Amino acid sequence: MKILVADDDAVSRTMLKRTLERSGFDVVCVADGQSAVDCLLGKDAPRMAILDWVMPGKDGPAVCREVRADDAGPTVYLILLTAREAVEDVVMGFEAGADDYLTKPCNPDELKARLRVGARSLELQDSLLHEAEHDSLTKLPNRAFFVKRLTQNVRKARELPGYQFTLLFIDINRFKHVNDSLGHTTGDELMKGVARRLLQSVRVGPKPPGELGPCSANIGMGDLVARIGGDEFVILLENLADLDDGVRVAERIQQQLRPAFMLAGCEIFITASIGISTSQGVATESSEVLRGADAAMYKAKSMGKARYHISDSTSNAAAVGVLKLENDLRRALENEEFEVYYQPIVRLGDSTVTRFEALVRWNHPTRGLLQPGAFIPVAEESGLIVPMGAWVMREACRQAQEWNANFRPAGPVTVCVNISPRQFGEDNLVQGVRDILVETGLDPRCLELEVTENLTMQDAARAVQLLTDLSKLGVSISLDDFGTGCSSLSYLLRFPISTLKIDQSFVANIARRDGSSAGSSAIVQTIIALGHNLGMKVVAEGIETSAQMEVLGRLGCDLGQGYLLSRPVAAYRATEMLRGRPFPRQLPSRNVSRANHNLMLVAS
Amino acid sequence: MQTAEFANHTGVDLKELFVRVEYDRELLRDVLEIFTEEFLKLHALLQRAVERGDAERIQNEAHTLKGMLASLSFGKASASAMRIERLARQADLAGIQEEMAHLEYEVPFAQANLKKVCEEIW
Repeated sequence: MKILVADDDAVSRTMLKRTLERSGFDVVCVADGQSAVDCLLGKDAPRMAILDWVMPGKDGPAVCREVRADDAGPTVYLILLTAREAVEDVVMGFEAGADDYLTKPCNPDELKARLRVGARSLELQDSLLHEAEHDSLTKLPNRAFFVKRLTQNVRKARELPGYQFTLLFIDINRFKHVNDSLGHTTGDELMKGVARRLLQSVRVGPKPPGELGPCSANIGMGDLVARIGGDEFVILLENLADLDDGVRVAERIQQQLRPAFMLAGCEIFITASIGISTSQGVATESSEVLRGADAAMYKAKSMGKARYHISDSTSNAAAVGVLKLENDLRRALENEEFEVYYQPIVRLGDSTVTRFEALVRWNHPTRGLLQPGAFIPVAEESGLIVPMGAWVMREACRQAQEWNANFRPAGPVTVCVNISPRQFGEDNLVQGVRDILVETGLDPRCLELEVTENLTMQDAARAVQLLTDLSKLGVSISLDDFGTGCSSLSYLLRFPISTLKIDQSFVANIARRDGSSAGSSAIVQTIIALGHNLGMKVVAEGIETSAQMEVLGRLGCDLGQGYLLSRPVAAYRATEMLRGRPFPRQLPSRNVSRANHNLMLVAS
Repeated sequence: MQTAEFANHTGVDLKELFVRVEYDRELLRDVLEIFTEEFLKLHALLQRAVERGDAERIQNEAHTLKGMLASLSFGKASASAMRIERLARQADLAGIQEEMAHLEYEVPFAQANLKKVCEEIW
């Protein structure tokens, strides 16, 4: 360990130096206070110092005060050397920041003993600091450490013309899915593996390959790799002259992450979305640079998996907006600022309202009533869609139960509730639906869950299981946006679906006067026939004109919804609609559709 | 001769000094050599300060000298330097002149004895 001896007495200095060298210290000697300050605040500074009380220029306590005032470097253990033993001097020395004091002339054994105490103290402080600044799982520096280093770099870039750095914000895609499906232990192992591969992608100091080692090995020897969140990492490329280098690192990371991780007997493939931000431009705060990289990462994510994107001012502003919206959403959930609107679904034969699709609106305190498009993507990305979706389902079921209690003579009302991809990925979806049904008392047959075609096709085998479990509760399932994805018809047979919803893009084109509607009409006709042959009801979405309504009626479509019939309305308006319903209708027998379904399979 | 008696007679507490240098002969020679050079400088500075009647300067130089002499276990000489430091604090220039004579006797005496020990005994 390096130690400083600051003493203007050459005899004392020489004796101390020799004693310390014999104890294995690397000794630096100076003869005045200012040189001591320069040495202790300089590069590669000693971690321990013995400072004479009286020195030319600055005395020992003054040196202590200056060293303590600087918090950029590591802690230094300061021992004051004094010929005086007055209590007030000792107190003053400690108040100046000294850790210990020795009386002159020193006894070598006492000196060594005091230094052992100092070394233990430093070791303990270092260990606590290391824990506070490092991620216990990957051993990488954590957010606190990273922000400190980023701030230093931002300051340097501001002060030194030509100094540049680049920041990479890395988000591991589908990490939650791994955690949920294979458990947290596997998820943890995956993060450790990712950390290792990230270190292999950058300029870090010498380290045994495949071994993370102590994080300090990652510091000051090249690029800084830090873990700042569950599946979020950052890489700080210091003193980087060219943005292309940042891009090359991003590409190297994508390449490093490409091979499968072998964990828990499974081959796990992951990708990363990477945002790149540089010190060039106007960034004056570390938070701006980080936000820029974060925004760029979101942009990369929206472009698809395994992509990178370079930050610009637009994406930066967008990121600020996204962050604010996310915070507002959290508050909205607590304050119950959401409202369920209901869009009627009518029987095309007699225009009777048979169901309502529940659609969420947000009564934003400053921006007014917001449509789902303004906040659902952020809710989905942040995971807030899960509690929000549960709230919508609970409220819709409560409302349906109320309607059915009040309008029973007019027949049961069904509510259709959309299930988002995040909700669909939740392990406790079935239990959640069951709880809501119990809580609200709604007949399960009056709840229809809408899932999109694309959603079910992402992991069709899981979807079959999940939809079967849901239908066992007694709820019905409808396939939304049908015709827009790439459904496997064999899976369509295995899904317990009772309703197909024709996507509005087909409906919009079925009654064009320019003669271009033939293709869409054929598709709609095919979907209706397919649905009917499989024993399903068919709903046409997005009906906006009478002509579309007429064509759909002629093609035998069962149900329809759209602005021609009604926009989504508040609950009280939906109640008024139900009051005016013409005649009662009974719940269909649940087994009929499956029986027809099977019959058609045999027939075909 | 007992150690204390020896220290009394020679002006240097050898036992204490040997412990301080951890019985390192080479170090002892080195520090003696350094002291010889440094004392000349410090003494000159002190004398100039006394001539100028600069009490603060006298106090500083005497303080440094006191520490150096104590490091070499030159007990009487160190005590003399301490008295000069104290007298300077009291601005007693006459007392300082008198004590300077003491110091100028004690230091060479202890120094010579230590040198002899280094050459003959060790």
